Amino acid sequence: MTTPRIAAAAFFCAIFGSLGSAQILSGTHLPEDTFRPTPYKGFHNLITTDIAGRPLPQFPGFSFVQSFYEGTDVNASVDLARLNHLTPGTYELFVVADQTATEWAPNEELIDVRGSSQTVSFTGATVASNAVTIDTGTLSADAGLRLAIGYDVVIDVDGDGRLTNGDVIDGYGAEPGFYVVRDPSSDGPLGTIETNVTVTGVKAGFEGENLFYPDNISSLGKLPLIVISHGNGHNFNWYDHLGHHFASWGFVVMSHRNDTVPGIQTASQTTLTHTDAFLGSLGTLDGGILDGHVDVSQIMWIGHSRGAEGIVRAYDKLFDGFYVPTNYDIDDIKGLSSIAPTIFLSKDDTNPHGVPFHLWTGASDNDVSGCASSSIVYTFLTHERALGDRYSTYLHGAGHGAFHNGGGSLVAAGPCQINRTETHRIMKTYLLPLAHTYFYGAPEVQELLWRQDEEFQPAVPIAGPCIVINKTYQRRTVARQAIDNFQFFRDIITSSHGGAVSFSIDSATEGVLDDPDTNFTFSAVEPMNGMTYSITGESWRGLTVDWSANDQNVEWEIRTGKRDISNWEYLTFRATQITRHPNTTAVLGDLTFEVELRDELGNKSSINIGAYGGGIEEPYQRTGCGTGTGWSNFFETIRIPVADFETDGAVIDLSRIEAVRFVFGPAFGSAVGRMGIDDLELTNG
Amino acid sequence: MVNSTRFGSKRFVLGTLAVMAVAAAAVTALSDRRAVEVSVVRGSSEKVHSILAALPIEVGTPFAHDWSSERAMVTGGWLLALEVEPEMLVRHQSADPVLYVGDHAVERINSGENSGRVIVIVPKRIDLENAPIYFGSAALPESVSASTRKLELTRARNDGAKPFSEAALSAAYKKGLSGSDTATVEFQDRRAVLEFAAQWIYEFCPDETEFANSLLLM
Repeated sequence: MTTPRIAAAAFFCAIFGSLGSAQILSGTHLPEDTFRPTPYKGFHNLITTDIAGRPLPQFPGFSFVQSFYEGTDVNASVDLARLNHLTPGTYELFVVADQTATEWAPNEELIDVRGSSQTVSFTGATVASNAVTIDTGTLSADAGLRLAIGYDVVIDVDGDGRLTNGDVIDGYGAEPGFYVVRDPSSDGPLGTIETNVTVTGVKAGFEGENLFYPDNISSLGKLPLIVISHGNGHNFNWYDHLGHHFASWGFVVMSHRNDTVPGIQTASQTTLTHTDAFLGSLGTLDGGILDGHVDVSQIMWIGHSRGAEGIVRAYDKLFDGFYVPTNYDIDDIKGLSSIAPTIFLSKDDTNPHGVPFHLWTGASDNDVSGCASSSIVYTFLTHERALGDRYSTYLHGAGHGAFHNGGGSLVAAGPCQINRTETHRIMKTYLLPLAHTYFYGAPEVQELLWRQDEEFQPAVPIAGPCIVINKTYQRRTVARQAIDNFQFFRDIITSSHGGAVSFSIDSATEGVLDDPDTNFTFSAVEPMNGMTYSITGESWRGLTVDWSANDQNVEWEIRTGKRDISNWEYLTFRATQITRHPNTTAVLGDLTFEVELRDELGNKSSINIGAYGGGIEEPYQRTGCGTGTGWSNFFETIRIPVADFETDGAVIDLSRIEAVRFVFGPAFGSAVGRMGIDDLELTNG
Repeated sequence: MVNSTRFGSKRFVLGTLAVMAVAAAAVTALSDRRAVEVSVVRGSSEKVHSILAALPIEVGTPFAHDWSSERAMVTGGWLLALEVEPEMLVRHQSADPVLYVGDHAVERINSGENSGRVIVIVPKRIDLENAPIYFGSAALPESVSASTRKLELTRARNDGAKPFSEAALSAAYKKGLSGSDTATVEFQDRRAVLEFAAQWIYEFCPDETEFANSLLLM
């Protein structure tokens, strides 16, 4: 996938040695087809643009995505309105092995990985009408221990079978045109060994470890380490599904006995000391076979329940210097994943700080339930405390016990529950890309972490009448610009970046994302009903709105000086339906609405969030925690490529955007609704 | 009069059982509504059915008692086998009722949630004839402070919690000491205590044999 504006900007910076980013980024907005890296390696008129993608049922009509699951269709299209250097006509299209800009040579022969090139006709006035299928699932994703293979797409304009000036390419830069990705829930290429050992240096009675590693580890280099800390009443032998899976993909996994009954401090201490003891015992564990094959600088902690809070507390102890490891240090902890964490301790003690953090929440969890009756079970709170990259996965129908493989009760309540087999497949599908993200960056799997499952599924879908997966994805270490995160300028008519916010809507409330009482029963005077994202003493804030008529809206002004959004990749926000509100229960289903940009000349371009598939999910239909039906609110992330607003020649000047407007009502999506909104921002990555 | 012998990693010390004063616990009448309400939400001594065995212990290498906020070092105490209402031992992620002996939150070694039998370490050599055994308020044991523990004891007594009878304790001592006249058993360290406790788990909680095995792995 190409990000032409950014590529152009980076190129200019590199060429002219001037980062003057504000000037260059805002003052030299170039249509992407005019990016000519003259005189780079002899190319002086090579056109780079996005080509690979998938068709959409409505405007923008085509989505230039980056990743495709192995065994599924890959499509291509061009937007002739933007790509005005390409004359409508018939061309040869090549899918070739990925090369970077430094690897491509002028006049290089194009070798199509499909066996032969494809004749395509790009004559339509819309990007949707130019869509063609360029692969029906035949392309390989076999990248050994990595999850994807990259490909570039070339439109051979002059038909000479070579990459020459005037040709159009998707994937000329550092990233390929697209990736074909393995189903991450499938077994990896390596055989695995599981063994139980004991270590010294941890609290007596808690010495046990369950290890998993590739059976050919002696011929491998140093592998990342994943540590699993179980929950209260659980067992360290209950995570075979993760242990074998990660080991088959080239990781070492250590699940340890966890001291959870006294509480979180002891649990965290076990995580810290077991990690230390394991790394200090590599020369002897299981005959020393792991010695020299564990990368101490690449560690991920996964915890469940009290153990899930424990790993965060453990990180906090490292951060505060309360625990000084012998065999690793805080920088070696590359990320955390907490499964249904409790939240006993304050933000001073259980705090992920800046380490990448991921959260699992099961909507059917009947232990860490998420009910407003006790903040101990507010799983989302740890996520809110995270200052670094943060992610969450919310599974309808998943009980507390569904996440381990120890058998017994699923510890679940509510309708349409999912079983362990289903839950574990979802865990593997998410956790393996997450580990690759933590350890390798892994641009090839980023879309697996945020695209909605309604539209992005492996060849063997993770589908079933009860499977509903919701994700949030907030990369906070990439360039981003807040439009409104509701944390500053705490009046409802001023956004956090100082712009005006206006409303034409039934009701709107900005406030702390904390249900004010101990249940989810609807109350007309509780605008934050169902919110479990904050507690007293922590002020994680957001906005709630409801509508019941056409063309109701909320509008955020973009301040002067911030109005050139053309260099931003995504307009993103997170949103949730508000549980048990009459507008929510009136129609059970995803909420949709339109996001509209307006430039200084009054031109508008709108995209319905449902165009990409899915919407804002209905609350899980669980009763209890008061009267009514519907469990806690849960945010999910929406990301709209900024460039999509220009599709098909839509008249909008992305360098002069004065307002972002959410437009509600039957002509724009859901007829009625009530919704929470947070973290409206522009991001790159 | 102290003699000592070696047994495995444990050193048995002959001693004399202190003569326990039979002090009837004062049962204070519940005088206010709030106290009654509190007793309803807490567990109670009624959930602790019997004391199966009791062994006075000393530890050569002290270890931290993680079941209180002070994390005091344990140099001696009691190893007890208790029979309680199984449901009280089911572990949840949120706070569970804390098991107390007198004004001490005890360390639960095994689960016991199926058998109702749990082996515990009392972190101090207290007078069991004056110490009711009961479940207190739900909390993380590691967060329980000395003042909270005293408050829990007062509440438990107000709720009618009583120590086990002299006869019950005598039977428990006899069982714990396996018929020998050894009054105090000294262990080298915490690990030795756990290895000894494993034998009790085999005997009292046979459904947890696998766990007992794990305590003997080192």
